[in-house]
Amino acid sequence: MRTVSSAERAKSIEVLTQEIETQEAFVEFVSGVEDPAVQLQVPNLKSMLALTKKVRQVVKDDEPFVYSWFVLGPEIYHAMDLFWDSGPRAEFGTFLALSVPEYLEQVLKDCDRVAVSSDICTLHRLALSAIEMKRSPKPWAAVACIHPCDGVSQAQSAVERAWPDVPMFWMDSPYYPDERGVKFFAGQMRRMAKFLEEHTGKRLDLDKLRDVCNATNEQYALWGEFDALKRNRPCPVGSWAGYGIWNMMQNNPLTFGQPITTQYIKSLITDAEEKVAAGKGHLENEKVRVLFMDIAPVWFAEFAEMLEQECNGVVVVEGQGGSYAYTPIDTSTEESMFMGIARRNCMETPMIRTSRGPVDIIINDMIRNVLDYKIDVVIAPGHMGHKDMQASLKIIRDACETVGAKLLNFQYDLFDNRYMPMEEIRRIVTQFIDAMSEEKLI
Amino acid sequence: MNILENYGNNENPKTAGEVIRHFREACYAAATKELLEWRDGGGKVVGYYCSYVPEELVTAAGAVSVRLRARTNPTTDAGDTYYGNLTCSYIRHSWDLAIKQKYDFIDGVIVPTACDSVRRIHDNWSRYLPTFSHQLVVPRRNHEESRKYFREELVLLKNTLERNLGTTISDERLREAIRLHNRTRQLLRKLYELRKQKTPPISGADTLAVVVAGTGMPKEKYNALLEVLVAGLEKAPGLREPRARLMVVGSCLDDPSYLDVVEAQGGLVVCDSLCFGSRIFAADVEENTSDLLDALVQQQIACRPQCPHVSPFPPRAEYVEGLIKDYNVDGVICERMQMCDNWGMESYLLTNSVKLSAPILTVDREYFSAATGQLSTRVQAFLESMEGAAR
Amino acid sequence: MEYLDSCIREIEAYIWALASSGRQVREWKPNARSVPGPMNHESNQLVLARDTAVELGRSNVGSCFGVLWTSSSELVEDGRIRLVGPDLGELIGQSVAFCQVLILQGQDIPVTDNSFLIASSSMTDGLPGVMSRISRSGIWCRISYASIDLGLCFAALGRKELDNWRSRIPAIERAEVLFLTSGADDLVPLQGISALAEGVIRSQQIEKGRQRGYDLTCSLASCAGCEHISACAAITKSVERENMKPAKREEGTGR
Repeated sequence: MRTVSSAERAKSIEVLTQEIETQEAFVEFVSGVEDPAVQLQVPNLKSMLALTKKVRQVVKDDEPFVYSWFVLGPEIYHAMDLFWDSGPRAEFGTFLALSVPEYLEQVLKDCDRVAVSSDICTLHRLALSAIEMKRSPKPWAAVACIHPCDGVSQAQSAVERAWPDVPMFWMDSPYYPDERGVKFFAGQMRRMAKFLEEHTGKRLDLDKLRDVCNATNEQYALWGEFDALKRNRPCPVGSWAGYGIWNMMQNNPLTFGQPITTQYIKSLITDAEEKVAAGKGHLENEKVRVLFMDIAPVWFAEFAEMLEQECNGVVVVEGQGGSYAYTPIDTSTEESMFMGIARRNCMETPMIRTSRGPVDIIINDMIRNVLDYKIDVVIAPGHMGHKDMQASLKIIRDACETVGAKLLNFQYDLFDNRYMPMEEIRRIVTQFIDAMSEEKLI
Repeated sequence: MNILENYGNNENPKTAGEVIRHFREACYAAATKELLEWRDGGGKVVGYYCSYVPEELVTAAGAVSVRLRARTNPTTDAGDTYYGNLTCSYIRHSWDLAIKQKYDFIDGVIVPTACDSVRRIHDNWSRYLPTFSHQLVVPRRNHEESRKYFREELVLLKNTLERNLGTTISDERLREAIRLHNRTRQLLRKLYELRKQKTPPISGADTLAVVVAGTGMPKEKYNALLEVLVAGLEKAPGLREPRARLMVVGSCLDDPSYLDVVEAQGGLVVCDSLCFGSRIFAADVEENTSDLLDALVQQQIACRPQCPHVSPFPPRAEYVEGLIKDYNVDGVICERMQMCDNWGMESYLLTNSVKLSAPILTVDREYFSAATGQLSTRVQAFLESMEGAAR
Repeated sequence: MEYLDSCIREIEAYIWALASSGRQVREWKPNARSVPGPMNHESNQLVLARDTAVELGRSNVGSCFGVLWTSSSELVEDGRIRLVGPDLGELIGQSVAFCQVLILQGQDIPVTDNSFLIASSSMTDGLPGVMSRISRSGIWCRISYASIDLGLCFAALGRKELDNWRSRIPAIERAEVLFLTSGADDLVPLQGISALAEGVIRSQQIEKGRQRGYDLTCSLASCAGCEHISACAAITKSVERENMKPAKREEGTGR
């Protein structure tokens, strides 16, 4: 039987309040920046702040919610009117707060206290730290994400031990991206829905499920339109300009499938289209187009600035950037909806797509992205937690050679800038690009 | 002291001591004598990584299964261009051998999706090497759906073996193979029972050699040697009353000299939960059933003790605790290869999330490690702390 | 390489059925060399929404893309371009469901070679006013007003497609292309037929798997009652023939 002591609740509220204050200050600062490109991102930042506030409110009022991941069927939670919190919210959501150096420092110090080997992905150590520090409050039920990698799978065992009184549903996942796998995962999702009904008292509403699938289908099509504009040379938008789309579409339950997200994507499209029509790029003298084959690092703003100023470069495509196409969900029957949701969640969302299954998936995506977006430099497979990508080094290199892209491989930590300081990253990247330029290879 | 000096001629081992010496040498050979004899006689060999591969299918296909290791290869110069250094050193050393075509005694390989490092062996193998590679998807849960999925995987594996080895795996042949491998498991369990004694007749290092060697030779030959070993040890006196009864928990430890270092401090490893250890023979495959593939599934996913690949954690902790009680263990050493997420988290969970009835020491290592001094020191300190606590 | 032959025959049969049921099916003859429309200009390949006259295959409208191959020359009419449904000039202002299927013939088409994939991904390079994106969920295209004003039609689009494929993959001996714009309902059977060749990426994975002896699509423990049994048998034969080739081991490492 789940119990939350008043001390635990108070601690969660305290920690979340601190986070909210940090986020509010950051949002206020960003809202005052007179750069139209920055202003476009304000809805995304405000939505992250709203999410943290919602989490605090849910804790205060002890409303039912589930702890899950963005790749475990948020469509279903939405159709159950069930709020969901996630490990990634505590890491990615607090990107906002993590953009504040002092806050990041505190979060990383908390993370250091978790007695897990430091060669395990920082994301999972952060998730455990968030639980310990009560930044991830105790849910009514949890859904364990045990794909795509060993790290996340093992982290779920630690989550279970941290909350022994929280009922947990474990989602197994297939390996190959075929119909058999989709069917398998759809079966898991059906059982998950039943489990959540039992443990939260919420009910799955098929009409709501249809509505949110239709809404997100439209949003994924819009995402594809925005991505297509980045094919323009020069790229009309800056590095990681589409990150907010991922965040609002997949990682934030408040904006998932909502009109605000549709509006946000359309605003990005309008802005990018106008720039393309005017022949304007984000950079006046764009020289290097980069595929950052990973999810967005905490230090992405610093990296983007360095790339622009020192190399006239822009990250055109990145790991969360929707450079993959999403198969629309067929909403004609309950069966087709579950199959479509399974396909989308198990095989098409970032991180899952880049790590799960045979290496052909990411290689084919990489080749397609290099060609579609006229990429000069591919940065991979750097994050210290991506063991499977580390094991694909030669395959990635060979694929880059096939399509004439230059591979830059160096190790970093997406979440911990102490692992590879920005100064060192700057040195590696600029030296590489300078060398390639001298050889007229880019 | 050279431990092997105590053992006799191993050309045709007739005593327990000779068998142990033979197995010890096998651990450090690229391919065992028995395997090479089989090969020279025209026999087929299929390599595999990880104990989630049901060897019975290979045996039923008329081939011999060999678990791929890299004890003869301390370098990774070729492998490092394929695998970055943030990956498991065991896999890097093994891949180095593979890409240098030193696994020339196998006709193909089976690669389970048991961890992030090993599963990419298949992606690399199928691109860069000429022999066949089959990826076996291992589920992460013991659900009915997951077991059904794994059964389908075994059908695909069966098809691959039949196609590539030019044979048919009939139910009859599969049943025979299951009986053969069950016999192996029974003999190993008999051996392990002897270690429950107050003064076990065999060290942990030697036991590891016994289990490791068996993964590299035809099971008929292996079983014959095991029979000699077990019969001999049943009559043998115990080694000594150890300073402490230890248990080793971890992954692909295949180097008996590692345990020699541990045991040189006076403790004795009396049991284990290792990938080359009790987990692979704790449960038999049901022989008397019409659905033999399902029997293999049950044994692999439902019945035997799991490694961290298969969630959740509590049954694994219960298995460890059960062994502590059955073997009267004083202390647990949890070893893990650096960069291993599975065992990194497992060692954290065993140390922080459960209260085992014996103290635990966690140790990181590489596949080839020169840091024996450090290991000795840590084990010594561990033994002393146990003795201090007992006082 | 006969394992897609049954799919190719099913497509042929389906087109005939559509024609018989009254759908407009147009065909451009293989030896037609002169087709209208702009060719070979510099292009940034982007068509903005405001400039889009026709949108084809938007993901939430309906889309299907397939590449099928065979070694049987009788199954492919070289240079043939077929269209089921309205042409571009008849679709102005609309966003419609869209299918494009390429059928290639050759003895040694390198379906497991990356060049195959690379070739597939930029088929309409050099055709101004046409933007396309191919993915596993299908194909999405935008056609600009300007290019339609200049006379762009599916005949030109098809001709460009076939020329691009042939120039990038010399092993192609014959090639034809089918387009369908007659509605989402008509698309569904094609999506079903081309399941085995669901996009170039997926086809390549399957082929690689088959040559290595495992089946990515089969989920049955027993073949009894399986509707794909004839295709599967053909695949098995094809793999067996591969396995009977001289062992690659003697030839050294790698592919």
